[in-house]
Amino acid sequence: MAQYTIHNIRFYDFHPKAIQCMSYEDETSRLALSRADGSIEIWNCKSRPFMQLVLPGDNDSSVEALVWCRGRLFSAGLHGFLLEHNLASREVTLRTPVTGGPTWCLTLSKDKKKLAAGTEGGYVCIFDVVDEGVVYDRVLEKQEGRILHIAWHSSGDYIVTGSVNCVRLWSLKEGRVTRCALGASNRKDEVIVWCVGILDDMTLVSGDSCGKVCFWNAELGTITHSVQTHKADVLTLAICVDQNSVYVAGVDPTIVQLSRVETNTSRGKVEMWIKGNQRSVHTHDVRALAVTATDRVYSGGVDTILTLSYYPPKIVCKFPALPPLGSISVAQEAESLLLQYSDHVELWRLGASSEEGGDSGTFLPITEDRVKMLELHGKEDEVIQWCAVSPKALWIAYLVQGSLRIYHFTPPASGGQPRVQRVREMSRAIERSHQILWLSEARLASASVTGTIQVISVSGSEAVMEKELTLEPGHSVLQMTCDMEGKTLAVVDDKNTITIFDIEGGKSAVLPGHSAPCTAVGIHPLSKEVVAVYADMSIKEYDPSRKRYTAFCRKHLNEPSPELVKKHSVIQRVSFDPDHPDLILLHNDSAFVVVQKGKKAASESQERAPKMKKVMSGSSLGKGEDAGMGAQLSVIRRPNQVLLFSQVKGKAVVSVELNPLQVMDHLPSPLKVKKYGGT
Amino acid sequence: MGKDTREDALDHCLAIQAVQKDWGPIVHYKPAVSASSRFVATASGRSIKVFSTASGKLLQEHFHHDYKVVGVQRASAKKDEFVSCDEEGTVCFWSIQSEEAQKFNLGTSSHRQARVVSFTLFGKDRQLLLLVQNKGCKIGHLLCFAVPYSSKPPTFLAKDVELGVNKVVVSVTEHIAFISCKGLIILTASTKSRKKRERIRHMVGERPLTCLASHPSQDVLASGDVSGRIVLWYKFTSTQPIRMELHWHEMPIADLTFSALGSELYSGGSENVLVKWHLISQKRYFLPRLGLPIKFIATDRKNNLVITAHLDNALSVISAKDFKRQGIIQGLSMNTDSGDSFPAGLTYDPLTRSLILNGRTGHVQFYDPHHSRQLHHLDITMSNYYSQERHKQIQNTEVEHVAISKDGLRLATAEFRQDLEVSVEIRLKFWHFKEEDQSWYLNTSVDLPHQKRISAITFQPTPAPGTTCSAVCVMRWRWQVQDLGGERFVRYLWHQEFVDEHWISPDGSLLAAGFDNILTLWIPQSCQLKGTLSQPYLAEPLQQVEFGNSEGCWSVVVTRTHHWVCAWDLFTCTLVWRVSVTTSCMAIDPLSSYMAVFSEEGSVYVFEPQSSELVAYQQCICKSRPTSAVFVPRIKASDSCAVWNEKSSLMYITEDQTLQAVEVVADIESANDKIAGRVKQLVHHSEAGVAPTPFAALIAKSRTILTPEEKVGQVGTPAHGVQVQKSTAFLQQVLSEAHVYHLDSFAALTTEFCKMVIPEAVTSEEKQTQIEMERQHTPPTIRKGRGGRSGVDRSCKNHRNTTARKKHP
Repeated sequence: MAQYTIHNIRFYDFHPKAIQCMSYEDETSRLALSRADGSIEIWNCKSRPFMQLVLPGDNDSSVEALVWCRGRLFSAGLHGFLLEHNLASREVTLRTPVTGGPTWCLTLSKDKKKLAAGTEGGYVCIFDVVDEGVVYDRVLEKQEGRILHIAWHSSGDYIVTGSVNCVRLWSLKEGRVTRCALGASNRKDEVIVWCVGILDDMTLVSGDSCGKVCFWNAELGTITHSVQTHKADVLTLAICVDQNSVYVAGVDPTIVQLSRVETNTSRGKVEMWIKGNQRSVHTHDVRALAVTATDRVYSGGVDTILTLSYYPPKIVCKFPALPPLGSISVAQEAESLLLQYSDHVELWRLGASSEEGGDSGTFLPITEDRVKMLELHGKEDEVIQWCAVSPKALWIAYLVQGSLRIYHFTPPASGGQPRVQRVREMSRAIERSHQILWLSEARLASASVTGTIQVISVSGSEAVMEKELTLEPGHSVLQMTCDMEGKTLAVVDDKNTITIFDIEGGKSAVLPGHSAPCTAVGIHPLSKEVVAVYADMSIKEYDPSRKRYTAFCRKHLNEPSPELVKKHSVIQRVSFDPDHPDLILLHNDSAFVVVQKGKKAASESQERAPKMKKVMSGSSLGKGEDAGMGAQLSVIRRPNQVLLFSQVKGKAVVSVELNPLQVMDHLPSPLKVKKYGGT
Repeated sequence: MGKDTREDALDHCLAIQAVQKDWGPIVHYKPAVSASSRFVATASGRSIKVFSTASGKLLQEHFHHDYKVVGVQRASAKKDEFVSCDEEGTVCFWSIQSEEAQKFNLGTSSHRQARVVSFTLFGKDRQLLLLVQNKGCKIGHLLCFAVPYSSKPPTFLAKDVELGVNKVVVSVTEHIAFISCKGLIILTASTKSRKKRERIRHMVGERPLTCLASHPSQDVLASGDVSGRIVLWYKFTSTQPIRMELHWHEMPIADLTFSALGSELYSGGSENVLVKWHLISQKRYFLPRLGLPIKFIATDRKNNLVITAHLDNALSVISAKDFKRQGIIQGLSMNTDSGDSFPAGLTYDPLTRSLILNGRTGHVQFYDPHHSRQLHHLDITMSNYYSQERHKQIQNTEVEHVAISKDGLRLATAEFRQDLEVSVEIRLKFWHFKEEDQSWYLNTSVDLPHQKRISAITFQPTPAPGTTCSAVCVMRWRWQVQDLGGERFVRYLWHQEFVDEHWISPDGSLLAAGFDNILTLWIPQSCQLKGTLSQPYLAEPLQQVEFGNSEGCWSVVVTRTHHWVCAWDLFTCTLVWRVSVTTSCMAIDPLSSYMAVFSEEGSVYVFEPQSSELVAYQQCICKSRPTSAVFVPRIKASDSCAVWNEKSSLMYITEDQTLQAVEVVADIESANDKIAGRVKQLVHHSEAGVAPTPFAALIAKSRTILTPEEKVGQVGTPAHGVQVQKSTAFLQQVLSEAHVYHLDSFAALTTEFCKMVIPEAVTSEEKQTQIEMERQHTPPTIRKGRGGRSGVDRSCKNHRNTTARKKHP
C-alpha cells in the first residue's frame, strides 16, 4: 500500500474560451476547432477524441471559419486574410488577402479544388487550392450586406450565401444571382440568416435569427417548408452525409435534428421536414456543429465544452476545454509549479503540512502556505505559448511566437528578494520552436519548427545548441517526455510513432506501432522502460534496451482494461514514483488511475485468482490484494476537472484541478427559457 | 279495493320489469360525428343516442343491439351512416334517416367467453378490426374481418393488444398500429407483392403509451403516453422511425385526434384543457376550463366541430374555427370513473318533481326522470374543481348527503373532504328556494358540525312552533336554525354518538335513530330519549330506518340492516316481523303505505310495513347492485296494473350508473314462467310459525314479550344465556333486556327514561349524573360506552360553545 499526500492546486485561474467554429475531416478523423482567443485546437477523433495539438493564437488572430482540405487547414477571420496553417510547425505558412475585408465564412467545393470566402463587404472571393497554397481565382459580383455564411453545391456550379434578410443563390456558370428574400420588406427588425446549406437536390436550407429553419426550392426561390425549431437565433447547421437530415442549433442550445420524411398519403408521397429528436447537451449558445460521415455530431459553443452526441443509442460525451500541454510545468525536486497565463508566468512553491499521513481521505492542516515565488511578465502584446521549469526550479523558459526566452532563477536567500536573470546570448543555431522541455538543470530540449529536436545547454548567460536529434522525415513532434536524469527522451509525433532517444549515446529506438493514437507517454525513472497510453485506453510498456515490450506488458497488458474502456476521456499524462517502482500514475480529466504492477512471482501465483475491480475514492491511494491482470487498477474519481497529476518529491503528488462551476461563473448568462415548475 | 288487488296481484304474480330511465354514461366510448356534422352519436349502455350538434337535444335513440354497445363510428364519408358494435360481436350499419339496420353477427361462437372491447372500421372494402378479450385475460386478441363478414373466417392478427378504446388504429395506407405492453407495434399493410403482414416493434421506454391516433391523409401516427408526452411517428414502417415530440400535458394523455385535414392535432387529459397543436406552424392553442377531465375527442369531416367527452357524462361541442365552446350535451351528470358516483343517493324533490342526485363533483343535479333530462345543477361546495397531479391524488369535496323538506323549499346538504393531509372538511349547508326567481340560495353554512363524518341528515316534516325554518337532525348534533327578522342563529345543539341512521316520523313528533344495532326513539323538540328497541340476534348496525306513513302503519318503523329487514311496532314496542334479505337499499312511497327493498343481487321486494307479506317481488331485476332507490310520484295516471305502482313509480340507480324504473307489465305469461322455478326460501316470516328454533316459536307465541330472545348459534356465549320471564311487567322486560345485553347501556340511559321505568330505583351514580346535568343544563346524553361516568364526562367536554359559520347567499 502506497500512501501519498496530495497537493490540491485549485488556484490556477484558467479561463477556457468559447468555441467559435469547427471543421471535421473524415479522411483523417480530425476535428479543428477555434476558440474565441484565436487559438485553433486539433482533436484526434480516431478512437476517443482528444486534443492533439494547439495552434496558439495571439492578440491579432481571429478565426471565424475553418476548412480542411486534404489534410491542410485553412482559416479566415476578421483580419481579412485567408491563412493556411502548418500543423507540423504550428505556423502560418500562407497569408492571402481576401477581397472585401473581414471574412465571415469559408467553404470548399466538393472536388476540394476551390475555396470560397464570404466577406463583410458583400463579396464572394473564390480561390483555387494548389499544392503551393492558394491562388486567387475571381470575385463574384458585389451584393449589398455582409455575407454571414456560405455553402457550395456538390455539383460545384452553385454557391449559396446567407445575409441579412436574404438568402442568395449564385450560379457560377451563368453568373446569375437569385435572391430569396426572407421576411417582409417593410418589417423593421431584420432577419439575419446566420447559416445556410444546400442539399444535392438543390434544396436550400437556412437558419435565421427568428429561430426558424427554412427549406427553399432553389429554382423558384420560395420556401417549401419552414420549421420553428428554436426560441432564439439559429446560429449553425450541419447537413448529414445522407442528405436526409439536418442538425441545427443556436442561441437556444438544443440541437435539433430535422429529418426529411416522405409520407405515403392517399394521393401519393409528400415530402416534409420534421423536427425529430432533440438533444439538450449544452447550457449556452451553440456556435458550431460538425457531423461526421457516421452521423456523429460534434458541437461546441459559449460553454466551452466540446460535446459528441449520437443516436441511437443515445450517447453524449462531453470534453471540457483543457489548457494546452505546456501551460503547467512541475519542478519535481523543488516542489514548485510554473503556471502559464497569456501574458505572464507564475512560479509557486507548494505548501506543506507538518503532519504525517493519518487516515486516508483526511485533510491535513497546512503549516506552511504556498508561496508565489515569481511572476514573470513578458513584453507587451506578447502571448506566451509554452513554459517550462527545470526540476530544481532554477531555470525557467518560455516561448513567445516561437522564440525562446530562458531565465535563471535564484531563490531568495532568507528574507531577500528572488533574483531573475535572463539568458541573453542565444546561439544562432537555436531555431524557433513550438515546444520545450528541461532535461535537467541547464539543459533543455526544444522541438523546432523545422522538425528537429535541439538539445540546448545553458551556462551562465549563454545558451548553446548542444546537439540536434532528428525524427523520420515528415514527422513532427507532438509530445516530449524525458526521464528524471534527462538521459532518455521519448517523443510522440504526428504519425503516431514513439521514438526513444538516448541523448548521450544518440541511439534511438521506435516503439511498435499501434492502431490508436498515443495520448501520453512516460519513462520510468529507474528501469527506463517506456509506458505509452493510447486513445483506445490500452497501456503498453516497452523496454528500449531490449527493443521489445516488457514481459509484464506482453503478459498482462494485451487488452485494454475493461474499467478504462468505459471512460470517454483519454489518459493525459503518465508519471512514476521512484520510491514505488511498481506504480504507474495516470490521469484523465476526471480521475486518477494508478496501475500497480504485481511482483512477478506473486502475479503468476495469483493468476488464477478471481478478477476483482477495486475502485478507491478519497485522497489516498491504496492497493488491494488482487492481481487479476497482474496489474491492479485503482481509479480515484475526482469531483473537479483534473488538469495535471504528477508525482513530486517525497511521498507526495500534485493535482491541479479546476472546478467546473468556476468555469461557469465566467460565462455569459444563457438564454432564459421559462421552465414549467421552475423559475 | 286495495287489499283485493294486492291479493290479485300476488295470485297472478305480475311480472316486474326494469325500465331503463337512463341508459348509462354516454362517455364510455368515443362519440362519432356524422358526415354532415349535424349529428353526434354515442354509445350508451345498450342503446345509441343521437344528439343534434346545433341544439344539443337528444334526437334519436337506436336500439339495434341486445348487448352493451362498445362503440360507434362514422361508416361513410358522405352519408350520415354509422357503424356500431356490441360486446357479443354484432355489428350494425345504420343511418339516421332510416330505422333499418344491417346486422352482422361476427361469429364470436368460436371465441366463447370472449367479449369485444373495441372495434375499428377501415378501408374502402370495409374491413373490421375487433379487439377481443377472452375472459380473465388482461390482453386482447386482434381479429380482422373482411366482407362478407358472416361467411369469411377472420384473420388473426395479434394476441398482445392492450385493452381499451383507442389502442388500435389503422393508418391511411392500412398499416395497423396498436399498443402492447412491449411498446408500439406496427403491422404493415398487406400489398399485392407482399401478402403477409410484417410486424415491427418500436420501443417506448419508461413511458407506457395510453392512446393512438392516425393522420387522416398521411402515414403519420400520434401516440400519447402516461407522462403527457405526444409523439408523432413518421416513417413508422422503418426500423428507425422519425419521432417528433410535443409535450405540454402533465397528466396522461386521455385521447388524441387529428382534424379532418390533418393539419391540427387535438389532445386532452385530466387537466381539463383541450390543446390544439398546429403541426405546420408548431404552435399550440389552449381551451381551458372545460369542466371535468376529458375522456375522448372527436372531430368531424368538415373541420367545423370538435366534440370532447368529459368525465361528468357531458359532451362539449366546440367550434373548431374560433376554438370556443358552443354547447354542452349533458347526460345524467356523474363521475363516470368513480365506482360510487352517487354517495348522496336519490332524493325526490316535490316542487320540481325531479330527483336530486350528485352531479358534477361538488354539485347536486336536479334530474327530471319523467322527461329524462337534467333541470339544473346546484353548486354546493362553491369551489373550483381541482385537477389531479402526476404524483399526487388530489381530493375534491363531495356532497355526501342531501335532504329536502316536505314542501321542497328547504334543502340541506352535507359535504365531506378528507385527504389525510389537512384537517377534515365537514360542512352542513342549508339552502332555501326563492319562488320569485326560482333559484336556490345558501341560507346557512355550518363548518364542522360534527367531529366525524356525517352519516345522515333529515328534515322534520312539520316545523316546530316559532321557527320558520325546519329542524334538521344530524348524526351527532341536532340543529335548529331559526330565522327571526333576517337574523339566523343556531338555537341549540346536542351531542349524541354512534347514530347510524335516523328518520323522523311523518307527523314530525318522533325521531328514530339507529344507534349501532339499537333503534332509539327521540322527541325532536326536546331531544328526549323515548325508548330503545333492540333484538339480541340483530347484531348488525342499522343501515336505514323508515316510518310507515299511511293509515294502519303510522306506528310501524321499518329498519334495514345488511341481512335483515325488520318492522317494529312503536305502540307495543315489539318486533312485528323480520325478513332475511341481503339488502342494499330501501325506499318508501310518500303517497301510499308501500315500501320497497332491493337486495344485493338486484331483486326487488315490495311490501307494506304492517305485514311481512310481499305485495310483489321480482328476482334479478337488474344485473348490477342497486345503490339507492326512491318512489317518484307519477305525473299522470299510469297504466300500471299493480296498485302499489299506481301512484308512484319506483326508481333506483345501480352500480353501473344507470337510472332505472320498476314497471309492472301485464305480460304475465312470460313472467310466470320465469317465476315458476324460483324458490321462496329466502323469505322468512317471523310470524308465519316457521320459526328457526322451537324456542323462537315459543317467543313468537308470547306476543307480550318486548324483545323475544333467541339463542343464535354464533352468539352462543354463556353470557347470552336464556332468560325469559313470562311476565307482562314492562319494567321487568326492560330490566331483563338491559341486564342481559346492555349492562353498560342501562347505566347510560337517560335519567328521565330510567325514572320512567324505575321511579325509585336510582343509583348513586345516576344521581350524580342527574345533579351534574341539572347544574349544567346539559341536554341528556346517551352513550354506549364502558361506563356511565365517562359518558357524562365526555358529554360535558363535548358540550362546548361551537360557533357556526354563517354564509350569506
